Amino acid sequence: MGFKYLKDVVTLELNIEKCVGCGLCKIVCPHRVFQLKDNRAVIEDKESCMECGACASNCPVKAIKVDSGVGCAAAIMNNMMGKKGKCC
Amino acid sequence: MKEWIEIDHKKIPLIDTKLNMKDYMGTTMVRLGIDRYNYKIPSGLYAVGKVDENSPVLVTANYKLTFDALRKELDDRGFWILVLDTQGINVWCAAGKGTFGSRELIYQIHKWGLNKIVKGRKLILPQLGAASMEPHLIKKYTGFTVIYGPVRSKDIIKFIDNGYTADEEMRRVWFNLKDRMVLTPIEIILNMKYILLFFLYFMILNFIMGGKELLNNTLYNVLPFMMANLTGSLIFPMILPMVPLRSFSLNGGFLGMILGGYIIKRHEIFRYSESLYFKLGIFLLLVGFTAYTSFNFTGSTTYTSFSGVKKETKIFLPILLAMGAVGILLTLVGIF
Repeated sequence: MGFKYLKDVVTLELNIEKCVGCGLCKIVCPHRVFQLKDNRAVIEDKESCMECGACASNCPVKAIKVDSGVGCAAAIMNNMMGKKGKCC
Repeated sequence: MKEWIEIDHKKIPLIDTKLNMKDYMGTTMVRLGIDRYNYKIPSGLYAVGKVDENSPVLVTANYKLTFDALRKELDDRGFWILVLDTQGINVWCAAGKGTFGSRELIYQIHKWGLNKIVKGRKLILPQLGAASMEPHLIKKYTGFTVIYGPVRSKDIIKFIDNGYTADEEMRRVWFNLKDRMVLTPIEIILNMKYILLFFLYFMILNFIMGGKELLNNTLYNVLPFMMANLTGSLIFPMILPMVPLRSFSLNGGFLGMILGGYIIKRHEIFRYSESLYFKLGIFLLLVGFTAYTSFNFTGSTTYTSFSGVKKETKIFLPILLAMGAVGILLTLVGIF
């Protein structure tokens, strides 16, 4: 549906040197951020990345890095106010 | 649940693919937030239909809502369902937390001796279960190959019949009106604890002011805050594709100003004081509360990034606390 959140915050990084073109990042991404071009992964839509970490986890050669924590506002706000928050 | 089947000296529960009234009631309860952390089934292996050693293995979480969503889409051709212990959390959240991950999957495969129960070496995982899975390690330690099925369980049969392939639409996450609306009851309910606080606050103020028609006045006083809750927890999710800005708290603040403007203009309906300070205080509290309830929705969306929510929180939280403090102060000044 083309929902987009804030600009220029996403921490997604792809190390093209390490990529072996297995295509798993393309398969697992819920927002179709990756495509495969010339047998290498390429980030096509970085703005749609929600930092779930599926790409990084599934990459067999650790070519992808992303800062993926629990993203619910309640947990983050609780952490900022110093209490151990439960969100789920 | 129908009965058990025995295989490799183990008793595996044979389960139904049709949901009954008890299942539907359970779904309703958790969607309303009642006992939602306890709606789980035991982890482990389950069987569906005419199952044998060639049947596909589907992997899912032990949140009963998830389990029901999966089994109701299956036919009776025969499936094994390996249920991971995610402590009663759904697949996508559990994947993000790590509980629906390589470690638990490898553990359950070894615990149930899956390699002795099925001939095939393929596991079908929901695509949204990918975030903490490492297929190369799972293959190394169990011999099983992870295959990612579609995002939505309603596509699982088509996926299998297509030779375990998914088209682009099966792999894309939606967030349409229906998806957003089912999340609203729990959002509204989770914010009710703040309504209670506002209720108590107004009750105390009214009491100090003489206490005439105490309950009535307090209910009218708190009504705009319930409206603010509905604005952020129901209206905002409903109109999400149409909101002008990307920041949830800003959009919420914007909606809050519209609501606040109306409430202040018709303040006599809500039995508020005439005082300008008081009205300004109420306005600030309404804007802040609407922004807060809207911002909380980031925890339920399919697309807000961790870094984005962190950034918004860093900016918004201090502003919210300041608005709350100043708002309360102004209402007190207005009254005394």
